This record gives sequence, structure tokens and C-alpha cells, in this order.
Amino acid sequence: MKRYSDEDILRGLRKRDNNVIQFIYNSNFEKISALVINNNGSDDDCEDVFQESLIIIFKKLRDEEHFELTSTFSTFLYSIARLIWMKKLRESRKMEVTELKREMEEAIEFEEPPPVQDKDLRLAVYQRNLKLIPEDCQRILTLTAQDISAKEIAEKLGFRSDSYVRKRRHFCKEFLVNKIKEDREYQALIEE
Amino acid sequence: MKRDRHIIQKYLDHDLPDKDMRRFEADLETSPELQADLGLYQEIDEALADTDVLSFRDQLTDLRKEKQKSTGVGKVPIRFTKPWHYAVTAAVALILAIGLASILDRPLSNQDLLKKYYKPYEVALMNRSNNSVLELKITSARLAYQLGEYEKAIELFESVLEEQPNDAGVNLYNGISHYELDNLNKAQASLHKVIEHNDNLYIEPAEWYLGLCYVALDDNERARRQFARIASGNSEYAEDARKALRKIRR
Repeated sequence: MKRYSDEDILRGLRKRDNNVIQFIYNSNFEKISALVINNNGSDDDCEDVFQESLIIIFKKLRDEEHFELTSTFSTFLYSIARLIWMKKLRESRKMEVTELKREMEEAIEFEEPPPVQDKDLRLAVYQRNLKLIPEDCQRILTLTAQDISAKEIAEKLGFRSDSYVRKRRHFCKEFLVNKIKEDREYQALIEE
Repeated sequence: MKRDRHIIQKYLDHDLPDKDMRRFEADLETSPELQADLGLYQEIDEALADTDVLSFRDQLTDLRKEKQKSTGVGKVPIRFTKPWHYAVTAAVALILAIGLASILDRPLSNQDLLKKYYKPYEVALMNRSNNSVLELKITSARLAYQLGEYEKAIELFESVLEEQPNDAGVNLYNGISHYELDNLNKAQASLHKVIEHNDNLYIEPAEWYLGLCYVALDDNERARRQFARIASGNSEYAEDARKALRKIRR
């Protein structure tokens, strides 16, 4: 597999280049996975933490045109994953977590404080729950959020009228809100 | 007083009349719960508007699935060496079959339910021997209905109903025409007239379309009751009503 410099990685991530993302996955997943598994996590937790860490970096690159790494990309990614997992452990298991298990951390550098806000985690919960509601709801809500009119949505999605779209949108939004409120991760986040 | 369940969204959309807007803002000042809900709605909108991240999330999920497929993560080779292995396999197969059955039987969204079960009632175009103005109007109305020209059909049906308010067939077609134009309250009113008349050939379809009207209104509780009533009888809609009952969301 082709190797990429940190600069290539940032450039590729900005453009969501699949090859670069695969490279990041291949060269970092194992470390992050070990961190999560050694600290009470499951295989799914490893995947979730890895994914949320990449999304946070992607948003940072998108929002900060002149973003520069102060460490290697791997260290930066690992630092974010570490903080996300500590937050998740604290919130979901009500554990006092200030340190993760040393035996596996000793060999890996991390920098603090990495840029992970609670809001990032809440937005991730909302977006994950969006995928759990009916597909027509997903489409109506995302198109509405892009300021597309009910009339255009009705035409685009083949619904019988814009008033149906408006009514359905209220139903879908309420459905999504209820799903989010039932989400244990959301409950843990707002109780913090 | 019961609060409109969509009031927060209407407030965010600036769809509330001034009076309701002022009342909502007054409530907002004193209710931390309402403030939290409003914050949640706003943050959800922010998350939904971030299409870059949404599609990046989809891309990562696809990669994750591909990776799991290619590396066989989670796949453990199974070797059958003992009789209980076969028992476990049979049990797993049974669980999978039950799971598959539940997937096939999973609830549909109301939109999908309507797509699956709604189709306009077929019109019978008859050559009427009596060529009165009224009969001509009924024939023209049914023709417009058949062609999907529902506005024109409604105009003609309603003109007939001014003279014959209890004509069950006309009320049925009029109700379905209103349904097609999303005038769901008018559709319900027409269908109720057919059912309340209680002595005509159109009661069964009227009951069925009334159930679908409730689905379109997202009033699943009434829709379920309506379908249960139809399913317990022996009308030609009983089978569809039973299926719809299994598919409608609670």
C-alpha cells in the first residue's frame, strides 16, 4: 500500500479521498482498538471511536483553513480517540476516569488537550439516530435543513403534495427527537 | 391547556401566529425543560444541515462494512464435532428464521403503507338510460375521476350532492377525489356520509379508504381501530386490513 506523508493525509482527508482514509485506517486502527479494548470497550466501540475521531479531524480541517499539526497525524488522531473514549466511559458507565490503563499507553505519545467538545459528541448522536428513522423521513429532514422548499421536496421525492411534506416533516422531526431522547449516550451526555 | 406537540418546530420556522409566539416566548422564560427542548431542536437542525459530515459519515460506514467483509471480522470457522453442535446450529437457524420473519413483518412508515395499500377505487362507467342533466353530471364526474382530474371531478360531484346529498356512490368518489388532493378532512366527511347512510353498496370501500385517510393523517391509533374493524368482518378488504394492521407503526 502506498505511504502518505502527514501533509498528504491532511490534504486527502479534506477531499475525503478513499485511499487516504484507508491508509489512515490501516496504520492507526490497531492502536486505537487496543486502547479501547484494554479499557472495557467492545469491537463496536473501537469502530465508533475511530470513526468519531476521524470526523472531528475532518471538521477541523474543513473549518480551519490554516490548520497545522503540532504532532504527527497518528499522535493527533490517537489523542482525540483517547479523549473520546475517556468521555464515553465517564458518561456511560459513570466511572471516574482520569487515566486509561498505563501498560498500553506508555509506549504511545498523546498530546492534550485535543479539540473534542461535548457538542461534537451530541451532534454525532443526532446524526447516528437520523440513520435509524424511516428513509423518507431522513430525506425530508435533510433536504429541509438545506432550505429546500416543501414543494421542491414533494417533486423530488414523488410525494403527492407540499402540505403532505410539511405534515410528514413535523412527524419525522418529532420521531427523531424522541429517538434521540431515548438514546443512552445522549442521556449520559446531558446528565453530565 | 395542552400544548401543540409541534409548537417548537413551528416557533423555529416562524410559523406561529403573533399571539402564540408571545405565549411561547413567555413559557420559554420560565420553563428550563422547554429551553432544553428548544436547544435540542436547534442542535438537531445544525446536525442535519451539515451535509459534509453526514456524507463523510456514510463514506466511513461504507468503508467499515467493506473492511469487515474483506477481512472477515467476526467470522469464526465452525466445526461440527459433537451432537450438541448440531443442536446449537438448529437453534441458531430457528432464531435466524424468527428474525427474518420479524424483518419481513416489520412496521412500515405511513408513507410506505399508503404506497403499498392505497390505490384509487375503480370507477364503473355506465351508460345510463336516463339522460337527465343530473345523470350527465354524474357520468362526466366519474370520467374526470377516472382520468385523475380530481378538481374537476369534485366540482361535478359536489354539484350532484347539492341535489342528492345521500348518493352513496357520489359521496365515495368525492371522498377519494378529496383524498387524492390531500383534502383529508373533506375526504373523511364524505366517507363518513357513506358509512352513516348504512344501506348501500359502498360501505366497505368507504370504511377501507377512511382507514387509509387516518394513516395519511398520521393518526395511527384510529387507523388501527378502523383496520381491526374491517379485518374482523368478511369484506373484500379484510385481508388487506389484516396485513395493514401488522405493518402499521404503533
